[in-house]
Amino acid sequence: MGIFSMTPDLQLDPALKVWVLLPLLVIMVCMTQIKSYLAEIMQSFPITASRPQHRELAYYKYAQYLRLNAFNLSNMERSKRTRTIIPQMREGSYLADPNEKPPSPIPNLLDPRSSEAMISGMRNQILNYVPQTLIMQWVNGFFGAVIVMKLPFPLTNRFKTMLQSNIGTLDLDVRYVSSISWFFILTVGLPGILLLLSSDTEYHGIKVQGATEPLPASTYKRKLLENEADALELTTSDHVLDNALDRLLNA
Amino acid sequence: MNTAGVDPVSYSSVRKNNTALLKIRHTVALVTGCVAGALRLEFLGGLSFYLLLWAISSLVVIAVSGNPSYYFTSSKRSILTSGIMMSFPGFLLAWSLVYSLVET
Repeated sequence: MGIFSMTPDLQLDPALKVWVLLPLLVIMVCMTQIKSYLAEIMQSFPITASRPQHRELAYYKYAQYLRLNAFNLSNMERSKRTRTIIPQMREGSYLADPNEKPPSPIPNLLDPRSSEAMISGMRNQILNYVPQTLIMQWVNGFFGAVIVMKLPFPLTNRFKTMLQSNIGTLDLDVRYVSSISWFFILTVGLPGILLLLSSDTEYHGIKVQGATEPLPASTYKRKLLENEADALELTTSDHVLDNALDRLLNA
Repeated sequence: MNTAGVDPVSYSSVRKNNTALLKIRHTVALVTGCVAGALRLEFLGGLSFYLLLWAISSLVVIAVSGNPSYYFTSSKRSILTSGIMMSFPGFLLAWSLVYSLVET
């Protein structure tokens, strides 16, 4: 008898271990593995940038880095660089699509690039919930109304309706639980343990290395580059070597 | 001084190290759960056993790696606490299973 339980120990049939606990464990292990393999198969590959998109992104980044690291350049060198790049960015000569129209605030559902994230999110949801619900129904129907195990820790009475569903004894200790709570424990605990089985390098969810994603489709790139050009023009910074001699000698 | 664009951290290595740390966590949780179940520890006994082995394994990780900031982007203190909630369900599973299996 535990410290917290008021009822005497129940004698559970040892056959329950063989016919309920272990089969459920095996089934859940298989299902979790199958689910992770399915997720791996069905994962969408990231859209890689085409050459013009690459150039667009590269110039956008170049302008940003130039602005952030301007203190390394003397005034003359910096103005030489900005004088070239600012008009080009304003004109849009580096745009991947020079005739680009500003995107509408409502996402275009037919555009594969904007709906990609939504679809993959939906797919994951379905992949998670459908097998989960099915197995839960099956467990409830197949092993329902049986006390299968005693938990090593006490729970409050609030868990009674969830963990002892279909049992219908009012004052049984909450530590004795039905098969559905073994199912819950397996659901939350197995993914971590099965992580130990997966190989080091290819744990799913890791993107293909080396692929560059283009600027998101929902942004108006012309505006983006113009803003960057404005920022570049407005930034003033002193060269690190300005008055370096004075500072050194006065220090 | 800010050097934007130059990032000295190799993120693939950090990710690999974090995965290794996570695996250590889950292994410790699994083994602790099995031992706690086999010893028939209950409630507070089991939890404190888990926390004790958790702390020991964290200290071992810190001691072996020397300076964790070389391998992880997080500090020593966050190495101590990282993943404690993530591997707890695994401990719970092993604990409940072994506890039920060895019940006489």
